[in-house]
Amino acid sequence: MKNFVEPKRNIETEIRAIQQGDSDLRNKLLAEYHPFIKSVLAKVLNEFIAEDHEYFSIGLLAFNEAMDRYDREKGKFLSFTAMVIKSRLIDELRKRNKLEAREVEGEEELMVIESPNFEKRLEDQLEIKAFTDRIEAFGFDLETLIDTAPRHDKTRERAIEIARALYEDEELRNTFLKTEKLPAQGLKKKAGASRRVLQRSRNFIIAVFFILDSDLEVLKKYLDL
Amino acid sequence: MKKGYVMEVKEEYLLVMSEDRKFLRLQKRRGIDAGEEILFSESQVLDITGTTDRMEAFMKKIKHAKPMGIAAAMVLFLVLSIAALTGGEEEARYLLSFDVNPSVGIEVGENEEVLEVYAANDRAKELALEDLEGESLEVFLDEFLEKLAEKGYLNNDSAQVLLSYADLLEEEEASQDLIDRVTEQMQNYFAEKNLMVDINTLIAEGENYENARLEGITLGKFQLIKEIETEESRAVEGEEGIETEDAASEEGAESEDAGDTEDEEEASGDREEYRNMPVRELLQHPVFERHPRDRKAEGLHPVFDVHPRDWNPEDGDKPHPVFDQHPGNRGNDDQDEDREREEGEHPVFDQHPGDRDKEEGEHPVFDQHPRDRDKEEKEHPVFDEHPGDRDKEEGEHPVFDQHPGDREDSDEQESDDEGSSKDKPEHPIFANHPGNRGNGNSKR
Repeated sequence: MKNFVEPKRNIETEIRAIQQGDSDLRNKLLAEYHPFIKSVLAKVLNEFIAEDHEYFSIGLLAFNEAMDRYDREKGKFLSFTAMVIKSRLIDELRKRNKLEAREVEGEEELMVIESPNFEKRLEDQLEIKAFTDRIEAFGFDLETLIDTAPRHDKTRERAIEIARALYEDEELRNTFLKTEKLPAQGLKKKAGASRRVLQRSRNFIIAVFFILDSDLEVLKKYLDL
Repeated sequence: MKKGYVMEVKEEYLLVMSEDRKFLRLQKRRGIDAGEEILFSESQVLDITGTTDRMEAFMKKIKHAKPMGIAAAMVLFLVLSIAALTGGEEEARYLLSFDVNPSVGIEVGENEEVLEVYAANDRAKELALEDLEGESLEVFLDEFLEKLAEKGYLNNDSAQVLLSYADLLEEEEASQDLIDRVTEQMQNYFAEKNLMVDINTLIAEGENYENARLEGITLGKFQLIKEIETEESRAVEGEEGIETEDAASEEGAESEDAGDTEDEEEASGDREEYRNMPVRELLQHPVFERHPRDRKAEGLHPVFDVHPRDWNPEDGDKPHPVFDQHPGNRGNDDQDEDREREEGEHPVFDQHPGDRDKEEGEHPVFDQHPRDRDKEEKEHPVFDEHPGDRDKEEGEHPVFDQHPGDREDSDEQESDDEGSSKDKPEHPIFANHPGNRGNGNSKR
């Protein structure tokens, strides 16, 4: 009997085949994912992208590059590829911006001071992705974090102290990771944190904890200031 | 300019963590990638937190949308803002005050957010705490303490805080919990900063809030002064009580009277003085034999030796914190000899109005007997001119402009002479004299 339903394709497995030299499959995938490439480009550029768009080729090249660079440790292939495309596009934009003499209206104030090379940036982005995945497991994302983080310096500093205590005390850390709850009693004893502070600054404390637990060196440096 | 680290690039903005440990939304610019460090200025931070701000951002976005869309959005916006208004107008639940000098009062809502900050003196005004309205009580305290410390108000050896609170809903448990947390937060702060600051806690009466504000002091200070005054007047009563009773003769009555007014003046003078006195000194007031704080620590009532609720009149305690005798019992107390003499004593006036009148020529209600006033100033307690005078000298009626008697006379004349009394009212109260009604018409 014939199978009417095609077995579910797994793009991660296909990439593996491509990396092992299946160039037909590579071309097939590239063609199949045009819409995906366009949508990633459109998000960065905020404009509609047709196949004759000046940056479309950048997208194609980046997609191709992503197929070579990908491995399972980097999470889902498509989110990884989106990162690669965005980064390549941005590099390109920046290159042209230099040549085009800045004509962006009133936007100059925002300046990139430290742009790691492409590889490092990808690594960082994966690290950020891992971080956001971890906080999302706790029921919030970066947007909610921004909205719920303590607004006053003093409160924020205290929350950071608490997060640090939580991270540095092995017992507290393990309880936290195991129960996925801030250990109120332990934190009260070891960091003098009242239940109320824990409630109010919960997201922020958890976020700081996971920054401390990550390889996000820049952010860790900020926390140490 | 600040440094920041781009964590995510959204369609409309960047999500960034800044070097001062804030998570922010920043205006987007092309060519910025996640994982990069950037330099930004405060003006690029997008302030779109909370529902209203998001709403505004949304409104900005649809500015160029189709008219129908705008209309729909307006309706939505209206609905939301009404919801925000009705939901946002929160009433004060707790009244707290802090006298460190600076003196600050705050109104706190049900959800423990600071609704209003009231700076009771110039030092408090300098702190510009109004900016903290809308913040949580916890954040307010943090900032407040920080500002106090910055200005050095907490560093001297004798720094004290008078913390008072009143719960307008009078739920003891809730307000106790609140005040415990406030005290804890303050103590933690002081401990952290190695500050030796005493916290004196006082339960205030919310009903005095308006008066306290009118006098330009905090509710806590108002309460403190009140307690000092109550204590003082109690002490005065105790010392002079017997003498007063003995000297109830005519002459004695006069001197006593004079003494009373003097006392009153003194009291109001004290009040003024107390108001200008720093709380620290008020707390040293001799009426507090021991410092109220120490008493409290010993489980005693800060002011009274025995907690009023535990008072047992049979043990010789005063049955009422203010009156020597419980007002309710006055007059019925036959057991005591002294009391028997004064049987029929009035629960409110020191002396029964009836007695006053007879013995001292005093009036039970007015400070000066209306009679005396009459002689000296020709004043009446109620009417500008004493009705008696009017009556005698000008033939006027004490109450009505024209003497009802006159009226009737003239009316009678009128009716005799002109046969008409329709235009002028015949009776001081009724337009038509009741006597004339009914048969008046038939006569004519």
